[in-house]
Amino acid sequence: MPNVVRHLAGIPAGIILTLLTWIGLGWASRQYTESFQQNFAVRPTAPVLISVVLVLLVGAGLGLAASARFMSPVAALIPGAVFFVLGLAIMLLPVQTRFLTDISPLGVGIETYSFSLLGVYPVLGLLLIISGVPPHRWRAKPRAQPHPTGPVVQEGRPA
Amino acid sequence: MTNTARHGLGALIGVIVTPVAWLLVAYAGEPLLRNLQLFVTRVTITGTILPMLAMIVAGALLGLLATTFVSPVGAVVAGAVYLLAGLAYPVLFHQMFEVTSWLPGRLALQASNGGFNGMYLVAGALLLMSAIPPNRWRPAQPTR
Repeated sequence: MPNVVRHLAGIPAGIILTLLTWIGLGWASRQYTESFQQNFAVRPTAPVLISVVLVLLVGAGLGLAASARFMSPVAALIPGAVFFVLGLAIMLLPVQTRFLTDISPLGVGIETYSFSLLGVYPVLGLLLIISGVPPHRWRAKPRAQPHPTGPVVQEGRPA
Repeated sequence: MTNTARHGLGALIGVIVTPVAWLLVAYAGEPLLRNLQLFVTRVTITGTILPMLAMIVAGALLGLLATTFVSPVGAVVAGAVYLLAGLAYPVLFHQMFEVTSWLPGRLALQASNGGFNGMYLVAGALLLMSAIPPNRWRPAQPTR
Protein backbone atom coordinates (compact mmCIF):
# COMPACT_ATOMS: atom_id res chain seq x y z
CA MET A 1 0.00 0.00 0.00
CA PRO A 2 1.48 3.40 -0.92
CA ASN A 3 2.40 5.53 2.04
CA VAL A 4 0.01 8.35 1.11
CA VAL A 5 -2.90 5.90 0.95
CA ARG A 6 -1.88 4.49 4.34
CA HIS A 7 -2.00 7.95 5.89
CA LEU A 8 -5.27 8.86 4.16
CA ALA A 9 -6.83 5.61 5.39
CA GLY A 10 -5.67 6.63 8.86
CA ILE A 11 -8.14 9.55 8.87
CA PRO A 12 -11.38 7.50 8.75
CA ALA A 13 -9.77 4.89 11.00
CA GLY A 14 -8.96 7.60 13.53
CA ILE A 15 -12.48 9.07 13.38
CA ILE A 16 -14.07 5.62 13.82
CA LEU A 17 -11.75 4.84 16.75
CA THR A 18 -12.59 8.19 18.35
CA LEU A 19 -16.36 7.61 18.16
CA LEU A 20 -16.03 3.95 19.20
CA THR A 21 -13.94 4.92 22.22
CA TRP A 22 -16.17 7.84 23.19
CA ILE A 23 -19.44 5.91 22.96
CA GLY A 24 -18.16 2.41 23.79
CA LEU A 25 -16.26 3.36 26.94
CA GLY A 26 -19.09 5.61 28.10
CA TRP A 27 -21.72 2.93 27.67
CA ALA A 28 -19.53 0.24 29.25
CA SER A 29 -18.71 2.39 32.27
CA ARG A 30 -22.41 3.03 32.84
CA GLN A 31 -23.12 -0.73 32.94
CA TYR A 32 -20.41 -1.16 35.56
CA THR A 33 -21.69 1.72 37.65
CA GLU A 34 -25.35 0.65 37.52
CA SER A 35 -24.50 -2.93 38.43
CA PHE A 36 -22.33 -1.77 41.33
CA GLN A 37 -24.96 0.64 42.63
CA GLN A 38 -27.64 -2.06 42.57
CA ASN A 39 -25.65 -4.89 44.17
CA PHE A 40 -22.57 -3.24 45.75
CA ALA A 41 -20.68 -5.59 43.46
CA VAL A 42 -20.46 -5.97 39.72
CA ARG A 43 -22.56 -9.00 38.81
CA PRO A 44 -21.63 -10.87 35.62
CA THR A 45 -24.85 -9.96 33.83
CA ALA A 46 -25.01 -9.87 30.02
CA PRO A 47 -24.57 -6.06 29.76
CA VAL A 48 -21.58 -6.16 32.12
CA LEU A 49 -19.90 -8.98 30.18
CA ILE A 50 -20.60 -7.22 26.88
CA SER A 51 -19.14 -4.02 28.29
CA VAL A 52 -15.95 -5.83 29.39
CA VAL A 53 -15.51 -7.26 25.87
CA LEU A 54 -16.27 -3.84 24.37
CA VAL A 55 -13.66 -2.12 26.54
CA LEU A 56 -11.08 -4.78 25.62
CA LEU A 57 -11.88 -4.34 21.92
CA VAL A 58 -11.59 -0.55 22.18
CA GLY A 59 -8.24 -0.95 23.96
CA ALA A 60 -7.04 -3.41 21.31
CA GLY A 61 -8.07 -1.03 18.52
CA LEU A 62 -6.26 1.89 20.15
CA GLY A 63 -3.23 -0.35 20.74
CA LEU A 64 -3.08 -1.23 17.04
CA ALA A 65 -3.33 2.47 16.14
CA ALA A 66 -0.53 3.18 18.60
CA SER A 67 2.04 0.80 17.17
CA ALA A 68 1.00 -1.43 14.23
CA ARG A 69 3.12 -0.91 11.10
CA PHE A 70 0.12 -1.10 8.76
CA MET A 71 -1.73 1.62 10.68
CA SER A 72 -0.86 5.21 9.95
CA PRO A 73 0.00 7.27 13.05
CA VAL A 74 -2.82 9.57 11.91
CA ALA A 75 -5.20 6.95 13.32
CA ALA A 76 -3.60 7.43 16.75
CA LEU A 77 -3.24 11.22 16.54
CA ILE A 78 -6.94 11.90 15.82
CA PRO A 79 -8.39 10.19 18.94
CA GLY A 80 -5.31 11.28 20.89
CA ALA A 81 -5.82 14.97 20.08
CA VAL A 82 -9.60 14.85 20.59
CA PHE A 83 -9.43 13.17 24.01
CA PHE A 84 -6.41 15.13 25.23
CA VAL A 85 -7.92 18.52 24.33
CA LEU A 86 -11.32 17.47 25.70
CA GLY A 87 -9.70 16.25 28.93
CA LEU A 88 -7.63 19.42 29.38
CA ALA A 89 -10.61 21.70 28.70
CA ILE A 90 -12.81 19.91 31.24
CA MET A 91 -10.01 19.72 33.83
CA LEU A 92 -9.24 23.45 33.51
CA LEU A 93 -12.83 24.72 33.30
CA PRO A 94 -15.15 22.04 34.70
CA VAL A 95 -18.08 24.37 35.31
CA GLN A 96 -17.81 26.44 32.13
CA THR A 97 -17.64 23.35 29.90
CA ARG A 98 -20.84 21.77 31.25
CA PHE A 99 -22.48 22.27 27.85
CA LEU A 100 -20.36 19.31 26.64
CA THR A 101 -22.73 16.95 28.43
CA ASP A 102 -25.41 17.97 25.91
CA ILE A 103 -23.32 17.54 22.77
CA SER A 104 -21.65 14.24 23.70
CA PRO A 105 -22.69 11.44 21.34
CA LEU A 106 -25.46 9.03 22.37
CA GLY A 107 -25.95 10.49 25.84
CA VAL A 108 -22.56 9.69 27.34
CA GLY A 109 -22.13 13.26 28.65
CA ILE A 110 -21.75 12.28 32.30
CA GLU A 111 -19.08 9.76 31.40
CA THR A 112 -17.32 12.35 29.21
CA TYR A 113 -16.97 14.42 32.38
CA SER A 114 -15.93 11.67 34.73
CA PHE A 115 -13.45 10.26 32.18
CA SER A 116 -11.85 13.68 31.75
CA LEU A 117 -11.62 14.41 35.48
CA LEU A 118 -10.52 10.91 36.50
CA GLY A 119 -7.80 10.73 33.87
CA VAL A 120 -9.10 8.34 31.22
CA TYR A 121 -9.22 10.90 28.39
CA PRO A 122 -6.15 13.03 29.14
CA VAL A 123 -3.91 10.04 29.87
CA LEU A 124 -5.03 7.90 26.92
CA GLY A 125 -5.03 10.99 24.69
CA LEU A 126 -1.44 11.90 25.46
CA LEU A 127 -0.40 8.25 25.24
CA LEU A 128 -1.80 8.08 21.69
CA ILE A 129 -0.26 11.43 20.66
CA ILE A 130 3.20 10.34 21.85
CA SER A 131 2.87 6.99 20.08
CA GLY A 132 2.30 8.84 16.80
CA VAL A 133 5.34 11.10 17.08
CA PRO A 134 8.32 8.85 16.09
CA PRO A 135 9.35 9.86 12.52
CA HIS A 136 9.86 6.28 11.33
CA ARG A 137 6.13 5.62 11.76
CA TRP A 138 5.46 8.26 9.09
CA ARG A 139 7.93 6.89 6.57
CA ALA A 140 7.12 4.27 3.97
CA LYS A 141 8.18 0.71 4.74
CA PRO A 142 11.77 0.34 3.46
CA ARG A 143 12.07 -1.97 0.46
CA ALA A 144 14.37 -4.98 0.67
CA GLN A 145 17.71 -3.96 -0.90
CA PRO A 146 20.30 -6.26 -2.49
CA HIS A 147 23.30 -7.03 -0.35
CA PRO A 148 25.84 -4.18 -0.80
CA THR A 149 28.73 -6.56 -1.54
CA GLY A 150 26.81 -8.37 -4.29
CA PRO A 151 26.73 -12.15 -4.73
CA VAL A 152 29.40 -14.05 -2.82
CA VAL A 153 32.03 -15.50 -5.16
CA GLN A 154 34.31 -18.22 -3.85
CA GLU A 155 38.03 -17.85 -4.56
CA GLY A 156 39.51 -20.00 -7.31
CA ARG A 157 36.19 -20.70 -8.97
CA PRO A 158 34.63 -18.94 -11.93
CA ALA A 159 31.76 -16.65 -10.95
CA MET B 1 22.96 -1.40 23.00
CA THR B 2 22.28 -5.09 22.44
CA ASN B 3 18.70 -6.22 21.92
CA THR B 4 18.73 -8.17 25.21
CA ALA B 5 19.87 -5.09 27.12
CA ARG B 6 17.16 -3.04 25.37
CA HIS B 7 14.48 -5.51 26.52
CA GLY B 8 15.95 -5.59 30.05
CA LEU B 9 15.83 -1.80 30.19
CA GLY B 10 12.24 -1.93 28.86
CA ALA B 11 11.26 -4.30 31.69
CA LEU B 12 12.83 -1.95 34.25
CA ILE B 13 11.02 1.05 32.76
CA GLY B 14 7.75 -0.93 32.87
CA VAL B 15 8.22 -1.89 36.53
CA ILE B 16 8.85 1.76 37.47
CA VAL B 17 6.22 3.40 35.27
CA THR B 18 3.32 1.06 36.18
CA PRO B 19 2.86 2.09 39.85
CA VAL B 20 3.98 5.70 39.27
CA ALA B 21 1.35 6.32 36.56
CA TRP B 22 -1.28 4.53 38.69
CA LEU B 23 -0.55 6.75 41.71
CA LEU B 24 -0.41 9.96 39.67
CA VAL B 25 -3.85 9.29 38.17
CA ALA B 26 -5.25 8.25 41.57
CA TYR B 27 -3.94 11.45 43.21
CA ALA B 28 -5.14 13.79 40.44
CA GLY B 29 -8.71 12.55 40.12
CA GLU B 30 -10.02 13.66 43.51
CA PRO B 31 -9.22 17.43 43.41
CA LEU B 32 -10.36 17.73 39.81
CA LEU B 33 -13.68 16.00 40.57
CA ARG B 34 -14.12 18.21 43.64
CA ASN B 35 -13.81 21.33 41.44
CA LEU B 36 -16.89 20.19 39.52
CA GLN B 37 -18.85 19.11 42.60
CA LEU B 38 -18.23 22.45 44.39
CA PHE B 39 -18.74 24.55 41.22
CA VAL B 40 -15.21 25.95 41.46
CA THR B 41 -14.66 28.32 38.53
CA ARG B 42 -11.15 29.51 39.45
CA VAL B 43 -8.01 27.75 38.29
CA THR B 44 -5.75 27.12 41.31
CA ILE B 45 -2.30 25.61 41.66
CA THR B 46 -3.22 22.81 44.08
CA GLY B 47 -6.76 22.24 42.83
CA THR B 48 -6.20 22.34 39.09
CA ILE B 49 -2.65 22.85 37.81
CA LEU B 50 -0.80 20.22 39.87
CA PRO B 51 -3.42 17.46 39.29
CA MET B 52 -3.45 18.33 35.59
CA LEU B 53 0.34 18.09 35.43
CA ALA B 54 0.13 14.73 37.21
CA MET B 55 -2.25 13.47 34.50
CA ILE B 56 0.07 14.79 31.77
CA VAL B 57 3.11 13.09 33.33
CA ALA B 58 1.16 9.81 33.65
CA GLY B 59 0.09 10.02 29.99
CA ALA B 60 3.63 10.83 28.87
CA LEU B 61 5.08 7.89 30.85
CA LEU B 62 2.54 5.43 29.43
CA GLY B 63 3.03 6.94 25.97
CA LEU B 64 6.74 6.21 26.31
CA LEU B 65 5.92 2.52 26.85
CA ALA B 66 3.75 2.43 23.72
CA THR B 67 6.28 4.14 21.44
CA THR B 68 7.95 1.89 18.94
CA PHE B 69 11.55 2.80 19.84
CA VAL B 70 11.22 1.58 23.44
CA SER B 71 11.32 -2.18 24.10
CA PRO B 72 7.80 -3.66 24.15
CA VAL B 73 8.61 -5.53 27.39
CA GLY B 74 7.71 -2.38 29.32
CA ALA B 75 4.32 -2.24 27.62
CA VAL B 76 3.78 -5.96 28.39
CA VAL B 77 4.59 -5.45 32.10
CA ALA B 78 2.34 -2.40 32.52
CA GLY B 79 -0.37 -3.79 30.23
CA ALA B 80 -0.58 -7.11 32.10
CA VAL B 81 -0.78 -5.40 35.51
CA TYR B 82 -3.45 -2.92 34.38
CA LEU B 83 -5.48 -5.57 32.56
CA LEU B 84 -5.50 -7.88 35.58
CA ALA B 85 -6.38 -4.96 37.88
CA GLY B 86 -9.17 -3.89 35.53
CA LEU B 87 -10.63 -7.40 35.56
CA ALA B 88 -10.14 -7.91 39.30
CA TYR B 89 -11.51 -4.63 40.68
CA PRO B 90 -15.19 -5.16 39.86
CA VAL B 91 -15.17 -8.78 41.00
CA LEU B 92 -12.79 -8.69 43.99
CA PHE B 93 -13.34 -5.14 45.20
CA HIS B 94 -12.64 -5.80 48.88
CA GLN B 95 -9.49 -7.82 48.20
CA MET B 96 -8.20 -5.19 45.77
CA PHE B 97 -8.86 -2.50 48.36
CA GLU B 98 -6.70 -4.49 50.79
CA VAL B 99 -3.87 -4.33 48.26
CA THR B 100 -3.93 -0.52 48.21
CA SER B 101 -4.98 0.01 51.84
CA TRP B 102 -1.42 0.94 52.91
CA LEU B 103 -1.55 4.08 50.77
CA PRO B 104 -1.90 7.31 52.79
CA GLY B 105 -5.17 9.20 53.20
CA ARG B 106 -7.85 8.87 50.57
CA LEU B 107 -5.32 7.65 48.00
CA ALA B 108 -6.17 4.07 48.97
CA LEU B 109 -9.74 4.58 47.83
CA GLN B 110 -8.88 6.79 44.88
CA ALA B 111 -6.60 4.07 43.49
CA SER B 112 -9.73 2.06 42.74
CA ASN B 113 -11.28 4.72 40.46
CA GLY B 114 -9.67 3.34 37.34
CA GLY B 115 -10.91 -0.14 38.20
CA PHE B 116 -14.54 0.91 37.91
CA ASN B 117 -14.56 3.34 35.02
CA GLY B 118 -12.74 0.90 32.73
CA MET B 119 -9.48 2.85 32.62
CA TYR B 120 -7.21 0.01 33.73
CA LEU B 121 -8.95 -2.39 31.38
CA VAL B 122 -8.67 -0.18 28.30
CA ALA B 123 -5.12 0.94 29.15
CA GLY B 124 -4.07 -2.69 29.73
CA ALA B 125 -5.51 -3.90 26.44
CA LEU B 126 -3.98 -0.92 24.62
CA LEU B 127 -0.50 -1.46 26.02
CA LEU B 128 -0.56 -5.24 25.46
CA MET B 129 -1.75 -4.79 21.88
CA SER B 130 0.90 -2.14 21.26
CA ALA B 131 3.55 -4.75 22.14
CA ILE B 132 2.43 -7.28 19.52
CA PRO B 133 4.01 -5.93 16.27
CA PRO B 134 7.10 -8.13 15.59
CA ASN B 135 9.23 -5.17 14.45
CA ARG B 136 9.18 -3.85 18.04
CA TRP B 137 10.93 -7.01 19.25
CA ARG B 138 13.69 -7.02 16.63
CA PRO B 139 16.98 -5.15 17.13
CA ALA B 140 17.06 -1.63 15.67
CA GLN B 141 18.30 -1.52 12.06
CA PRO B 142 21.61 0.34 11.70
CA THR B 143 21.19 3.58 9.76
CA ARG B 144 23.29 3.84 6.62
